[in-house]
Amino acid sequence: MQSDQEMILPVPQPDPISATFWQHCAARSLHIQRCANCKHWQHPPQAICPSCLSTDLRFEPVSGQGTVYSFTLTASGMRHPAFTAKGPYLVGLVELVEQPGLHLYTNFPGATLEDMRVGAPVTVEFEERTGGMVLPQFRLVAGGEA
Amino acid sequence: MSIRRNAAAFVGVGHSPIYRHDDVPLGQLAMDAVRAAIADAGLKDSDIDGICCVDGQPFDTEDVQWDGINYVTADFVRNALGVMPGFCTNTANMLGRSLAEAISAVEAGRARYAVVFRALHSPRGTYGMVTAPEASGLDQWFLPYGLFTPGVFAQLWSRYQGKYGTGSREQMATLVLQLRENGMKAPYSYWASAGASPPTREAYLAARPVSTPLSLFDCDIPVQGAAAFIITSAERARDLRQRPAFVAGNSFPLSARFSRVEDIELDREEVWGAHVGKTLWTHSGMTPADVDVANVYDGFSILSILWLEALGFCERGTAFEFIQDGRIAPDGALPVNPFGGNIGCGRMHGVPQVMDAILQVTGRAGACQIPGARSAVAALGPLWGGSALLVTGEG
Repeated sequence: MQSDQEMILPVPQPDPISATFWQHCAARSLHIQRCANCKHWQHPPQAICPSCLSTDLRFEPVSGQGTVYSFTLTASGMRHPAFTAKGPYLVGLVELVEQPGLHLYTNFPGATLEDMRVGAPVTVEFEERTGGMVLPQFRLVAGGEA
Repeated sequence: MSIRRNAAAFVGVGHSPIYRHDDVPLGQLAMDAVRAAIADAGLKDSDIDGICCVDGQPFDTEDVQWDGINYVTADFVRNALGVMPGFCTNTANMLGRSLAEAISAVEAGRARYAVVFRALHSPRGTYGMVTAPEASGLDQWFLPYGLFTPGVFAQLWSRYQGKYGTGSREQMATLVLQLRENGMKAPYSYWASAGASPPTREAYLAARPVSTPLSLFDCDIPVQGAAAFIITSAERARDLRQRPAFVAGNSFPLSARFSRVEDIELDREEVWGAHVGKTLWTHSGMTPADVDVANVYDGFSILSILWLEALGFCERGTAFEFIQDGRIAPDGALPVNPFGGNIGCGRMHGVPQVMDAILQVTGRAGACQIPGARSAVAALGPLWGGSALLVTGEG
C-alpha cells in the first residue's frame, strides 16, 4: 500500500534562486530569468549569467507563446507512485518564442499523442497542484500547424 | 595540439559473470574482474600502480549504500589488492572518463600498469523510486511533470523524427534485433546466459511502450556484474602475454554528467557528439573510413543512431537508413556492436563496447570475431559528456 502522501503528484520546492519564478506562476504569469547586462534569457534560473558572468539577473514577463520541441507519452510513472497511478501521460519540452533554446517542461494538457507534432504552436496556462503550488503548462493552439 | 598516438595499450581484460540480480557483494565481483584482467595480462597484483574507476550507479536512492556491497570505489580495490599506487582516481560519469584518466596517467608516466574497472549493481525491484512530495534543486523543474530517465532519451527520438522526418520503430527494429542476436554469441551477456532468445520483429513492434517511441526492447536490462581493463605503455605491452590493443585515439572533451535538463535536447546532443567525434579523429589522424568495428553506446537504442551520425559514419538524419540491409551485421560493411552492446548483454554502461573493441583488434573475440578487424571505436554514454576510444591491433 502506498501512503496517501505518496499518491500526491510532487510539487516544486522553491529555493532562493527559483522562488520569484514560482511566485509569478502563483499569480498566473510566466516570468523568465533574464540577464540585465547581456539580455540572455535562461531557464532554469541561475545565480550567475553563464554567458557574461553578470549577477544582475531579473525575472521578466514573456509572451507564453512557443512551439513543441520534443515530447513522449510515458507509459507508466516508473519511479513515482502518483505518476504510475495516473496512467499514460505526455511530458515534453516547449521552446519559447523569445529565444532559441529557451525550454520549459510541460504535460501538454488536453492533448493526445496523435495531436503532437514537433514545432506545433503552444500557449501557456497554469495548473494548481494540491497544496497550492502552481505550475506552468502549455496547451496546443487549436488549429495550429507545425 | 598533438598527443602521443599509440603510446598506451590495453593488455588485459577481465569480466565477472553477469547476473540479473545477485547477492554476492559487488566488491567481490569487481575483484574477480580485476584479478582476471591482471592474470590475462600475465601480471601480478603488486604490478598495479594505477587504479581508475567510475563508481556511480544507475540508481541513487537505495536506502543503504556501502562501498564493496552496492558500489565499489578505487580505494576499495586498492585496499583489496594491497598496493600503494602512484595514481588513483574515483570519478562520476561513464567508463570513458576513467579510461581517459588511466590512459593519460600511463602516457605521462604516472603509472606503469593501470587498471580501470566498472562494477554495476542491480537492486531487486524498481530502482530509484522517488516518493518525496516536494522536488528540490534541479528536480523541481522536471519531476513535477513526471519526467524520468527513459523519457529523456525518448524525446531525443521524437525530436529526431520531427526534425528529419525519418526514424520509425520499423527502422529501429533492425538495430535492436541485430544487437540481441549478436549478444547471443557474446561471452559476457545476460541474455545469452539466461538462454533468452532475441525477440522477433513482430514482438519488437508490439512491445510494451516505456516512453514513446521507446519500448521495452529499446532499453538495456539492468544487470549486476563487473569488468576490468589493464593499460600500460606500448613499450611494456610488447613484452606481455597478450597482443596489445593500442590506443590510437581517445576523446573525452567535456566533463558533463547526465542531466535531465541537458541530455534531453537533441540539438545539444548532436553538437557535442560531433565534437567528441572531431576530437577523436584529430587525435588519431584516422577517419571513419579507417574503422572496422563501430561499438556505439546503446543504453537506449536511439543513442546508437546519434553516435553513428556524430562520429561521421553517416550524415545527420540518415542513420536510420544507414543501419538497414545488413550493413551493421557482423558480415556487413560496418559491424556495429558485434558483442551486442548493452542491449545485447545487459546494462553494463559501456563495458561491452570497450571489451569488444579490445578483443576484436587483438583477434580474441571468439564467436563474435570480425575477420581481419584491425581497428575499433568505442563511443560511450549520452553524447553530451560522452567519450570515444579508438583501438588498433598490431600492424
